[in-house]
Amino acid sequence: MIGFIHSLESFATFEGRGIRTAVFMSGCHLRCAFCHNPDTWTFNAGQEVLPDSLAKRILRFKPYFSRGGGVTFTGGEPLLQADFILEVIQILKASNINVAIDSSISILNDSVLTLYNSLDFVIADLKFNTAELYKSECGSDVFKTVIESLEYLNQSNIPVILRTVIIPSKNDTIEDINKYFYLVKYFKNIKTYELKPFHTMGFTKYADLGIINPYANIQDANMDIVLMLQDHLNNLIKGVN
Amino acid sequence: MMNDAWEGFKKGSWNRKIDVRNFIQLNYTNYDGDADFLQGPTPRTEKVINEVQNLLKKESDAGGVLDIDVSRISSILSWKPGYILSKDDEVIYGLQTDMPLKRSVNPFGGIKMSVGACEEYGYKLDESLISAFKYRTTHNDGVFRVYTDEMRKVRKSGVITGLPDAYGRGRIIGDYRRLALYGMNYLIEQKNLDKASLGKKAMTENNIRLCEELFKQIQFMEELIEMAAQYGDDITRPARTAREAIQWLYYGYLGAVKEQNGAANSVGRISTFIDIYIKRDIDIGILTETTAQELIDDLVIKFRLVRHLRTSAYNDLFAGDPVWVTMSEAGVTIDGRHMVTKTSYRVLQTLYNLNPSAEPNITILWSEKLPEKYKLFCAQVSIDTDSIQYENDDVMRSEYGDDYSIACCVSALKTGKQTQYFGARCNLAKVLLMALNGGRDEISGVLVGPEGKIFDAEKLDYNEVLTQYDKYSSWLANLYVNTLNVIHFMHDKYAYERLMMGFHDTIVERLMAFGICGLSVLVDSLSAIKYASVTPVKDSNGLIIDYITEGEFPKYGNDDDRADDIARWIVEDFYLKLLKTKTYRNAKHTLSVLTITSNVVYGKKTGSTPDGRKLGEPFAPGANPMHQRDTCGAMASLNSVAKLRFDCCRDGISNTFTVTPDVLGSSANERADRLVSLIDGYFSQEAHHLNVNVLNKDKLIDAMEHPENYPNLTIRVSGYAVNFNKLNKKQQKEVINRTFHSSL
Repeated sequence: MIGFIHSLESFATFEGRGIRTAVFMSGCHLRCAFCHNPDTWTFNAGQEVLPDSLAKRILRFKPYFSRGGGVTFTGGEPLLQADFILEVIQILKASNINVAIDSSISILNDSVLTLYNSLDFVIADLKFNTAELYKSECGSDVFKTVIESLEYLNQSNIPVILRTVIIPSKNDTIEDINKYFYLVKYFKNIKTYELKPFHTMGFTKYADLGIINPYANIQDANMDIVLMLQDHLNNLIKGVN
Repeated sequence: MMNDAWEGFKKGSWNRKIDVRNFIQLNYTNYDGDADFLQGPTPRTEKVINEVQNLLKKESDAGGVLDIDVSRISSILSWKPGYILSKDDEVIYGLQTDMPLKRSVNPFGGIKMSVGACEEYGYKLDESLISAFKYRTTHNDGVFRVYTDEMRKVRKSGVITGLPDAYGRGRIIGDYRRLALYGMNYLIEQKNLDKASLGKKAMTENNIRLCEELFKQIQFMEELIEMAAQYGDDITRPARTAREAIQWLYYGYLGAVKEQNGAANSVGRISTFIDIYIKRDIDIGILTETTAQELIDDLVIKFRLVRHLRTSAYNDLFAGDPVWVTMSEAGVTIDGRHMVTKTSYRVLQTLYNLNPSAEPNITILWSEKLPEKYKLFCAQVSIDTDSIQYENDDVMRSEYGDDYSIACCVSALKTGKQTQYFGARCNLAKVLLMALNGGRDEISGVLVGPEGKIFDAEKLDYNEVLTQYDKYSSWLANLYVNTLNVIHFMHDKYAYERLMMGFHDTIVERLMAFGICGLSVLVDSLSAIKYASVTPVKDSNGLIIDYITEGEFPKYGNDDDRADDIARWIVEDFYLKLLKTKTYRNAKHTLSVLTITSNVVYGKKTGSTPDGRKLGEPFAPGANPMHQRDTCGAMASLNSVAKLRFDCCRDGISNTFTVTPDVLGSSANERADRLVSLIDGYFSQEAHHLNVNVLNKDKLIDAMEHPENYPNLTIRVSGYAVNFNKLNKKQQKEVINRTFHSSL
């Protein structure tokens, strides 16, 4: 089957050890106001590719994947092309490549469940802590699906790196962090939970694409506040453990 | 032979004959731990390094040369002992002249070069020296007596340049460890025995030459005893302590650089050897970690002060005043044990204790078998200092064993057993232009090679171009070998490396090291002709001076086999062509893809090329993809270079690689870890060499404008490191223009 990819970055920076190649999938069903990759929203942005040719390109980087490296499908929303990614993974797994996705985990269907079970880990965005905020800020009420997905990943014991982007005036208080924590406190599969600062670097893409930028008036998150919130979150997590 | 200097060492064949490798294999202790044991500089070291920093500043303020002694010729005994501050402030003694950074004159390569170099810095060489050389043939005189018209023409046009026909060839590494282990008396005794046995053979031309060379070796070995005695040391006997071992070894090196001003004077693979002595002294309580580090620091300070007097034309080719005191570190034994010792760490620690520096040229012989903690420490040092380079021991070991050293940038030599005839490089991109112009130089129009037809078709046809390239590259390969034969015959005759060769076996294996530059320009040009449409543009005389290239074509550096296969073919093809011509003294042909900094000069001398590069624009360094054309990311770029085969480039394949700190990660641990993954990944594909820079372009741009803020900014350029401030503006711009691999 044909996949739609926006681009491939052979040497991408992700947290943790090892060198990871990033495959940016085209297409996303969400319209998050703080998205820094709006150029990946539509399927026709990018190139069509067959699973074996994509796998072949990735396998050229295998020598660099020792020490925890591998490939991460991101986007866009990789789950929209779960079947395609599965076909690629089948080829990659024959060469023992470590595979992850970086996703909003806001789609649940049979293909997605099969995909989850073939991954080494999932980088998951927990964007907001209420259905209302998901609806107003991401254009879609997927909160329930996100929580169900986290529950599924936990039951299936699939490692998760959880992330939340801290956006000034939207989710940058201690109370917000408490709520996020409450949502995930019983999940045993979450390896780390990282807070990331909202940044305005993606703004130029909105201008280039002629898309209205709903957060045009929002500033970069203050790093001191993000670090303070991360400290607070870490303390909450320690309390559980 | 038995003596107390060897007490505590495990005995073996090294006790019966000169065999340093055997001594190391039996006695070294490898180290798997981390860097926590390392010590900072002592107050004495700090005092000396402060003075060195002052002197370096004065040297820089004086335009690059602090002082020249114009009254005498450099040799082992030309000067009384010299010290940085005073003898009491030093633990390892010895300077080239009587004052630090004072340069000496060494006219044996060519008197004109010495006169010119003095004048460029506002000095005048003593008349008595000039007239003395009126009656003496220099290496340069000898070469030009024999050079043919054709050789002169290719040299002038820049198809072959940088040839060591007017300066010392260098790239010969004495096994200075022998002096420490055996003492000079034993080494001289062995040379005398060799000479006696050669005397029994038929006196053929070869044998006579070798007998005379042995005489010269012994003469200078005896002079070195006198030099050391002036500093208060008796090197006739073996070294008894770590300080003596380091000192003896350094005296050997110092004598060699007093006698010879070769382009690269590398010191070899010494740290594992030294570690055996340091460990013995620490074990018996006469040395501590602090004083051990102090010895290494002081040795490295001495290496940083080595200078030669050069002309500006020379500096264009080899920018930044390098001497290539290359130190080869780590590696693995042929039976699979890594050779990382605590002294491997101590050597790297000098970059923290004494600030980052271009010299010595610390070269890590990398293997997948090196201990994890050492790999991470090396990566950390690269990230912090941009001062070290990596070469793949896993590909070199099978050819060169486990006691080879790197000469200059990337050239492996079995220590004390092999020596090199350095051959600079030829410009293969220019050969293509010459082929298209029927043997004419594309800039001057002068007929340089065999006369042929200038291409007159509207569009260049790939197969026709290859046929002509084949003809001209064959012609050049033959001429290149013959030119080097002339040069090295004369160098052996008039500027023989007496002391360095004294620290070799009497019967050595010789390698003749050819080189190519312009590889990426040639690959992309041929790819353009093959996959796009290339139309020649002629001037009024009918000479092709430019090309119009339309359409897309694959470019080297993107892991695209269509381009990379061309690169492999060019290198293999040229190597096979070189093999067809016999070498002087039956030297073994080797080939490198390395430019040093001559990529700027070669670019200047090369017309516009079909890849879209314009007349005079710099080439990429070494085997690097052309600037900014490797657009598929760091790993794709590395993968392309990794496809070049070491077995036809046994003199090295140089790749200079720059990443921004961000792309490696956000924390120090992440960055070091990813850099290790990158080096491991590259070398696991049998790639040969990697220069690593971890820096931002902005930093270099700022350093160009405010050099005073970056006195120690060191960067890797092509097989060596330079202080950024010592590059000229053109070279600085070329470095800034290179690909910096960064993330999206």
